[in-house]
Amino acid sequence: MVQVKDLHWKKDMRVSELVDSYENVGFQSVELHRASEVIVKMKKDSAKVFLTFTSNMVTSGLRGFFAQLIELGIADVLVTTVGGLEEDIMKATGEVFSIGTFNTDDVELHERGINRVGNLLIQNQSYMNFEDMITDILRKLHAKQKRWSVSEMLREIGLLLDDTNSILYQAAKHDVPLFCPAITDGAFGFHLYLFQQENPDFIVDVVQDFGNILLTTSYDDRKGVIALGGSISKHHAILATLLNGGAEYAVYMTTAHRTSGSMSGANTSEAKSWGKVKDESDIATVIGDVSITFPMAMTHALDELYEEGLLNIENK
Amino acid sequence: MTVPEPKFILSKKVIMQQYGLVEDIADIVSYSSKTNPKVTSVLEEMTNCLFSVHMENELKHIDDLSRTVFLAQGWSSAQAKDLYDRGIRNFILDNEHDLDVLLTTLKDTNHRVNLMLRLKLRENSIRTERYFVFGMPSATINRHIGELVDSPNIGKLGIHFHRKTQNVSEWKLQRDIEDVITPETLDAIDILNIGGGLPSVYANSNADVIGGIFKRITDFRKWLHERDISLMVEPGRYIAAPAGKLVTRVMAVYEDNVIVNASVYNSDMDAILVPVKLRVENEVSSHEGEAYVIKGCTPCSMDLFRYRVYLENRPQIGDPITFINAGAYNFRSDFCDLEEIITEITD
Repeated sequence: MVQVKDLHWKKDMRVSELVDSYENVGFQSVELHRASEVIVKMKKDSAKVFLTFTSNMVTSGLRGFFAQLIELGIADVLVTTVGGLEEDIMKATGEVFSIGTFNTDDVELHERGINRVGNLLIQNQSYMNFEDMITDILRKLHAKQKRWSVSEMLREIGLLLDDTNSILYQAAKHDVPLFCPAITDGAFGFHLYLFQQENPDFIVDVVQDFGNILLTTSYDDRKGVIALGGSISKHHAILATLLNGGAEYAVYMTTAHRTSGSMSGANTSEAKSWGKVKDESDIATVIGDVSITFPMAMTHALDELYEEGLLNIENK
Repeated sequence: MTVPEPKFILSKKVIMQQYGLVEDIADIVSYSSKTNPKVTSVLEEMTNCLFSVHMENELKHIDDLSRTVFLAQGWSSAQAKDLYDRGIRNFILDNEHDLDVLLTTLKDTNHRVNLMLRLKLRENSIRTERYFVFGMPSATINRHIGELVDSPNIGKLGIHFHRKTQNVSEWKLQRDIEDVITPETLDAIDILNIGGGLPSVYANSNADVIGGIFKRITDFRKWLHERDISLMVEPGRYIAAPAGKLVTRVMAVYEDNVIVNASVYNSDMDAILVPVKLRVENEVSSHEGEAYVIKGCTPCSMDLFRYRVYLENRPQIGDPITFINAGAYNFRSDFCDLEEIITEITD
């Protein structure tokens, strides 16, 4: 039985040392440490890793971290929501988001053309710039071919970007498929609709992409899911693993609670009842703000994987 | 058309290569005989290693039983005496009842055995929450080691802990032991034995981790040596798997399905139980070939070697399909009255 041990600060303490000590602290710190260990396990066990995140995380500074993780070879499959893709493109083309507060006059923000995501602020102008640009991108895609699966389209867009902090860019560069099953649920979707009105032969095929995500893995592969936040991005990944026999490893990080019965709050144990993760899987569920918990758990995991030469760090 | 029967080919040369790698990082090597008893005979002839054995039936594969490390479980005094009389001197005990049986058997005799107590070590896995985990709690181990250290019937004294087979992550050995074993116990023991094997390379495994595991074992050994403790390792799969190939023939091909004249039930039960997926000799990447499902010859839906193997050319009836790294845990069941597949040992 592992005992509770008192946490002590050390001068110049590294993140990894802190997370190591979390193993003996209690409550969510134990789960955070466990989450990190499960991530290490899934990589060491050569599992196909499905990394899912919601758009608000791309609004935040986690965007560059996700891009770096793709570059380091952590993720084999990505699933997200469309807002994150829009914002990734915006940032890749120079848009800058600001940090405000959670408590603010939202009516005033609206009057000033500013949109709030928690304590982050996005100017309407950024969306307008995005809209100007996306139509050109869609014209290029349309000229190349008429029918696109979502992941093929996102790869093509990634190849047009030039920003190492971009998720789309790194995914395209490293041939990591990026799925967005609810592609119409945002400004991007609205422009797809408008473009299709003018070009009825332009089809973005969501159903075909369902087949693509299923074929990213098979019963032969061990599978791991790192689900940050909930919603369709989380569900789409674990549905793909379910249809390929279930995941051997699962880490969920969320602020949602299981008591709501929602996908977002469903923990790894509930997923077992569906066969989404295997009965014998290694799991961890961390309840807390992903902008805090994920970088800590992941940094601890990256340090161990780096030490053992298991990161893709060529050309660095 | 009839095709040649399937067979295993086991290479002595590879067995010795793999053994050499393990010998370099351990003070004592004890080959886990259950992994593939045909490897046991080769190692007995060509090395001086020990053999970890769980069942009396397995002893028939070993000529010199003094080289046996017997992992007893639920035994009787008569059995303990019989094993001692047959020359076995190394025992690993899993629980206090079995320890009592041994001590009672040895009492009032001048018999002397080497004894390791099996430690129930925490593993971060649901797996070990679902199934009974062998071994004694650390507090029990610490207490008994203190009592046994001066026993005239005990020669070398040690601790055995079992690592989850194919567990590629949980190798923080020093931390794990320091967490649960007292300094007094470490002072008292002569041997620390890592059970649970070392991983091998399969289609669904990560060969890159093996270097890290060897490094951790090497660091752990250094730490043990500072305490005058010898390190014993029990590799099974690491030695046996790469030494073996399973050569099958194609019986039929339809759509993307290839049926071979062997079954996971008589050659690769590991594919169901662990499950490891054997690589096929000459398989290519997804960009270079077409995907095939390779199925065994029984009607069972579980009888699948691989779901997706990319092959450059479409297999034809009679073509060989050779599975590599097939030397470990290639045991069989009597499902469908399948015949045992013969093993050919080569140099």
